[in-house]
Amino acid sequence: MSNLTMLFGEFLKLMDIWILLVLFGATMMGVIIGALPGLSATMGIAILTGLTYQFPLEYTFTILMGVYVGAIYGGSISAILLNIPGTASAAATALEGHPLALQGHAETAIKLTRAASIIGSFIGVVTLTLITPPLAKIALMFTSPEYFMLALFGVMICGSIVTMDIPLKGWIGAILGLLISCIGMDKLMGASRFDMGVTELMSGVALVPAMIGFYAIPEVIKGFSKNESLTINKLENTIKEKVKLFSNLWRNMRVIIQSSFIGVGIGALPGVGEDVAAWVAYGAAKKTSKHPEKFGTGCYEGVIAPEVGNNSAIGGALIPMLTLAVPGSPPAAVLLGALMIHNIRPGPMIMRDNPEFIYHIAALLFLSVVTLWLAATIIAKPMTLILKVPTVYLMPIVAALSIVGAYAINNRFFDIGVTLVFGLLGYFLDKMKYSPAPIVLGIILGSMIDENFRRSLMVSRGDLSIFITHPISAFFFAVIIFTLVSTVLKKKKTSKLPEATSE
Amino acid sequence: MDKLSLRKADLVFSIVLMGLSVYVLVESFKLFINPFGRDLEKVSGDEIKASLINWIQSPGLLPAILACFLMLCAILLIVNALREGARLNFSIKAIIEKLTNLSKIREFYVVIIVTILLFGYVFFLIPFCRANLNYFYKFQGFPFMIATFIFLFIMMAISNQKTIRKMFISFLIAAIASGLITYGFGVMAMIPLP
Repeated sequence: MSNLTMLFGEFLKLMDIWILLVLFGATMMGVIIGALPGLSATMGIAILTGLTYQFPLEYTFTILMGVYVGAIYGGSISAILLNIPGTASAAATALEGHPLALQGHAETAIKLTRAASIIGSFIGVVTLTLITPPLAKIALMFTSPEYFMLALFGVMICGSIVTMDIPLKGWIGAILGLLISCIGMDKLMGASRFDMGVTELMSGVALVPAMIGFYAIPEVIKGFSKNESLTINKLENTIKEKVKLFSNLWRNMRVIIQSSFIGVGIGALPGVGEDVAAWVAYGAAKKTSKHPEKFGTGCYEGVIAPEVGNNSAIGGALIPMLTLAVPGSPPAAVLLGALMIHNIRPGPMIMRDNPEFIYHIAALLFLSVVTLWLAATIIAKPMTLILKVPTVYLMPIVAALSIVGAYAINNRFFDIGVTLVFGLLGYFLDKMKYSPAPIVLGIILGSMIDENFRRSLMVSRGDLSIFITHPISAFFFAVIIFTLVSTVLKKKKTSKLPEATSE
Repeated sequence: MDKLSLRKADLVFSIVLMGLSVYVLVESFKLFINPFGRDLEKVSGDEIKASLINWIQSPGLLPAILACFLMLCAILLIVNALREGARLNFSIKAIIEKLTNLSKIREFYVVIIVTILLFGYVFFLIPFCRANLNYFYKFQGFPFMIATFIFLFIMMAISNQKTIRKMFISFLIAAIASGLITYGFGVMAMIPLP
């Protein structure tokens, strides 16, 4: 059956009024989650993974995909109206969006970001549908060394790129995540590791409670620490102008195409995700613009580029997640965890065992684009009111939901303890500028790395050259070395710059 | 956090990381010679020899490698922190001064209070309500609802302005939210509540 026929078949399956309503509600919830500062797409998906655990599978993924798409867009609303990006991926949007709001063009900016997000998501889904099946076939050639190198590549790339301070901290985070994944029964020999005599740890650290801990609890604590009042700009344009949406988009078609390619490409890099895609798309738009001097003062080109970038990264991030079981972004990592707890094993075998699942996700994403347009249009006006909800009311509810979500998977109080402990650890690591993304990716990919590393060595009888004699594995090895060396060199260069300027 | 304080924190954390890598190395070594954690007296020399010969299969292999890399990263973190001017002063006077400064920061109290409230909610309030308020056979979520209401109200009230109006709003929101969470997830979605 051709790709399009299967996609069409999945569309038909989704044409159920309840699924469509749930998708609409989830997208709207996603927009609100994304818009509220302190709540992120990753946090929303992590908490909802636990809360929807008992739901029928088709509803679970409908909710998670709707929230994912909605939240990535939602961040731009608060970025424009408050100058506080609701999600990290909307930080670049704030640079141009808020000045536009201050100039009285808030409504135009919001309409443009909405359209840009929809176009970005759409391009991401088209790429996902076209690339995933052939990539899954290539992935069938992967054996243990390739899997080991790929997973290691994912963790190391994520550690190198997603860092809030020095790259070393990204790598430390990745190692910590990998060590956490080593806790519990090892899958090759059945020996229990690092359980410290705690029976519950013999089954390992549960993924969802750990993710909720790293993403939700630190935000709760930070939300209480800030206690600041927000100035919300008016949604309506204060300057009378006729919003020519389509002509504006047409004028910026070059930026849209460029940003969507950047978004899909960066989204497909393991663990990197929407935030980096948005920044790179913004940077590229500024570099290639005819009027770079307008950037930073509030230009439409500058709000379109990051929004197309971060939303097209959604489709990009799902490509390696579905075909290789290596997530392309933190929300995709959480989504991968959700798939795993529902016994769906993404990876090369998915085209053999569950081929319709890829098209199901693609069809869901397509429909999410439509519901995003509806939800974003409806919620735009009430959003100024929603954004006024103080964190003192919001964060305790997030904390209670996190605890219910952590408990729901295994019905164990121990998992709530895991959430709280990792939450505190996540908070302190955040204070020291460690990003949670490499840690969570390390936890997810740890068992893949461990199993395939030892299996490869068993096959080669301890000969390490197995990792460089297989072409695909050698390629990933070369990319890891190149990334590490270039990151170190770049760091050296940037640390020398201030010294040179001070001289 | 300013850059110098960040580097000082890096210094302290790198010591923690070193300790962690030593612990992982020791445990990994134990896994190399005795993977199933039996009493060492019961493990024969031949078994240890066999485990060491088959080192590539050992469950301690990856953790040992990771521990070595973690140690290396911790050392690099120290070097970076020292190069950027961070120094650790272990004198009692300096530590007291640090603690005094810390106690002046609002966030320090917030972290402590939120942590106590979260742990209190999970490990005291919920079990207490479960043990004493399980009145309704057909509404098993009732104790959780009460515990959640108390938790939400205390959390909102502590961080909100202490006016009657704000207290009333906190009370109302806590009541509605706890009811919605319990009914929505516990009854409608049939999710087991803590």
